[in-house]
Amino acid sequence: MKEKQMDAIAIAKEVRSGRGSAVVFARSALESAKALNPTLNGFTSITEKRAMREAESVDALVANGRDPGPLAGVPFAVKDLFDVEGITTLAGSKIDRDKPVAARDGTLVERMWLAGACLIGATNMDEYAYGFSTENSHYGPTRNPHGLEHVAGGSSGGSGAVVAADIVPVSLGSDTNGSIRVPSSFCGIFGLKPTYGRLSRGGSTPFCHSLDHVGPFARSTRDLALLLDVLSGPDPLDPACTTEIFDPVLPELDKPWDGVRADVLGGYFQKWSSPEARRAVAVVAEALGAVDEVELPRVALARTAAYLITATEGANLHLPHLRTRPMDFDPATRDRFLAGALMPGAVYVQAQRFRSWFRREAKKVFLETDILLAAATPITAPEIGQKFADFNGERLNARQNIGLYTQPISFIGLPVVTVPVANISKMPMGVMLIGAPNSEPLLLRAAHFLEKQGVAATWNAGCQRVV
Amino acid sequence: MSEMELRGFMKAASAVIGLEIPEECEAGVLEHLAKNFAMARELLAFPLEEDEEQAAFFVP
Repeated sequence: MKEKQMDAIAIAKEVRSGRGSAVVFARSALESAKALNPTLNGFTSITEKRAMREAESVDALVANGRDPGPLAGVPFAVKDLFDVEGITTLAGSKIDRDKPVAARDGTLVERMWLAGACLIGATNMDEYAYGFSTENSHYGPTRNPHGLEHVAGGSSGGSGAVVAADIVPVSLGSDTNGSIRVPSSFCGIFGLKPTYGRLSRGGSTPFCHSLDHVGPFARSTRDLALLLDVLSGPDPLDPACTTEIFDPVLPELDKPWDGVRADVLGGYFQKWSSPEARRAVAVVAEALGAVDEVELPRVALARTAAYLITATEGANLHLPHLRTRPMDFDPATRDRFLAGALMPGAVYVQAQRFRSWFRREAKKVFLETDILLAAATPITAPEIGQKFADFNGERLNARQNIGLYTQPISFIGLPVVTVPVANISKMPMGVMLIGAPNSEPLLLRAAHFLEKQGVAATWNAGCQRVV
Repeated sequence: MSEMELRGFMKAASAVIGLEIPEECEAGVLEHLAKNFAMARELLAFPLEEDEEQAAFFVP
């Protein structure tokens, strides 16, 4: 395996054994970041001094016979809404440039370092996470490593692109309506949007408190499992973060697969699917023995409610700056925020009450099945600047409809592993493995099974990557 | 809602919360208001039992 295509577990194994050096891995990642970023535009800042300082510490611990942690010397990147001590958290905005530098790392950034990982940089995103394409007017679009004229997805597009381009093996992102799952799909990498509240959002810029999740991107399913284990744990900085303690997932990945039932989501979740999306779901369904289709009731209304909650809460968070600096917002978010600020209370409360109804109905479906399958995106990555796309015969606004399949699922906080499906299309396409709350171990086992079967695989230089 | 009604709502509601809509943003805001309210009408038409509470603190 080439050094740049090693996953995090392989890198940490080399470093912990003393066969590899954290400094060498960090330097290699930094060189790639600096060489590729003018083309890719995945990073908003590269934290070279910090990365080298952390890598030297890891190597010193190994030299002294001490254990630097399960992610020893693993280079990683974080979406630029996680606080990184000493730099200003931009959240893709111009306005937040005026904020002071972060006094300390966000919770997950700190936990990555405590596990031995070395931070390479912060990554580009849609302004305040309000978008699906990372076409940011302040910092430019992030380009897709598999086709530079295409978007990387959003809003965690930079975090997806820098993993897909083999700059780092893992990164962190956030997902309110699809912002981990969409870049995973478009960039051909694995992504985990955990159960709502499973991972702490402490020390990250919020977008919509009711719906915000955070999670990892990775080149392998075992890395997703390890990151979930390393990043889990209660956190008083995030009131939504669970206090439940979970068993480690990584040791469970190879457990027997018998008796697990998977079904394909039909109806709404196929209506706008391109041929690529249909092929991807069919391939995964066959591998998991999913024969039957099931439907969630009133899914379109669930998406509607998620959309309206997002608009209302997001606008409320930014109301002070909407009053004083409206023209400093990205034009792609500004008018939506302004309109969201005017949402009548009756609409917001109805959306939240409908959320409870939809959660109950979805839980009934999981009495009969364990895993639901759906395309993560109806289409493959559109081109940068492309306004409309063909959604199975309907010409729709591309940016606004990329999240059609992701929004109803995050609306009720269900965990999702997005797997990149190998060799079925010219550009990557991902499939969502959706489970009941806290079923991450099962979903990761399923994803690991697909990876071992060769059905799911990170797209690499041997496929279509162009940088 | 007609465009005039929508514009009237925009002016009144923004004044209530002390938000001035920049003139160059009005057309875009009206477009999003129309979309939001079309969605809202569908949502408000959905019958919910009175004991269907919103999750005060959402736990899935």
